[in-house]
Amino acid sequence: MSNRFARSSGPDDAPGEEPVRCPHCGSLDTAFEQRKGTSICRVLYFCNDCAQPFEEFR
Amino acid sequence: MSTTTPADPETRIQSAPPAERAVWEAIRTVEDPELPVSLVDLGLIYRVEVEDGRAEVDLTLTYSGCPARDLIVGDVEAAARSVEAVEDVDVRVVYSPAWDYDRITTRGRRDLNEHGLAVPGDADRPDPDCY
Repeated sequence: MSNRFARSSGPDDAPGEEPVRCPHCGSLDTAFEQRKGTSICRVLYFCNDCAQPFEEFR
Repeated sequence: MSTTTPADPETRIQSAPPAERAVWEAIRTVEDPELPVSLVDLGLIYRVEVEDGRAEVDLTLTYSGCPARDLIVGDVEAAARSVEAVEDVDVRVVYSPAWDYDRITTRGRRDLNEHGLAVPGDADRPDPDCY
C-alpha cells in the first residue's frame, strides 16, 4: 500500500552522497540539517567542527 | 549534457568586440537576487551579441521554476541598455545547454563561500586559502 500523501523522497530531499565542505572552516565533517533554507535554492547543513550552521546552494 | 567543463567566461569577454564586451561588463554588475554573486560568475550568461545597436542576450536560470526569473531578466535588460552603443535589447531565457554547478567560475565559488554558502563540488576542489 502506498501513501499518496507521503512526502517526496527524491534526490532533492535527501542529502547527496558527496561530502559537503563547510564554507566557514573548510571541514568536511558536516551534517545535513534540513532541506528548507532561507530560499528555495538553499538547504541547511551544520558543521561539526566549527559548530556553525551553513547553507548549500542547490 | 556536456562532459567538458565550460570555459571561464573571462576568455570570451576579453576577446569580444568592444560593444559586446561593454554589455558583458554591464551584466557583470548584476547579481542574482538570491545569491550575492554576479550572473556572469554563476555562468548564467550564455551569449551576448551586438549588431546595429541591438543587443541579444541568452541567459539561463539555475532551475526552470526560479521565482527570480522576471527580476533577473529585467536587471539584465537594464544593464545592457545602459551601454552607449546599445539602443535595443532582446533577452532570451534558454534551458539548453542545461546549467550545472561546473559553470560557476572560481571567483563565483569564492564569493559564495565567503558569504557562507557551500556549492556542490566544493569538496573536489582545493580549499580556498582564506580562512
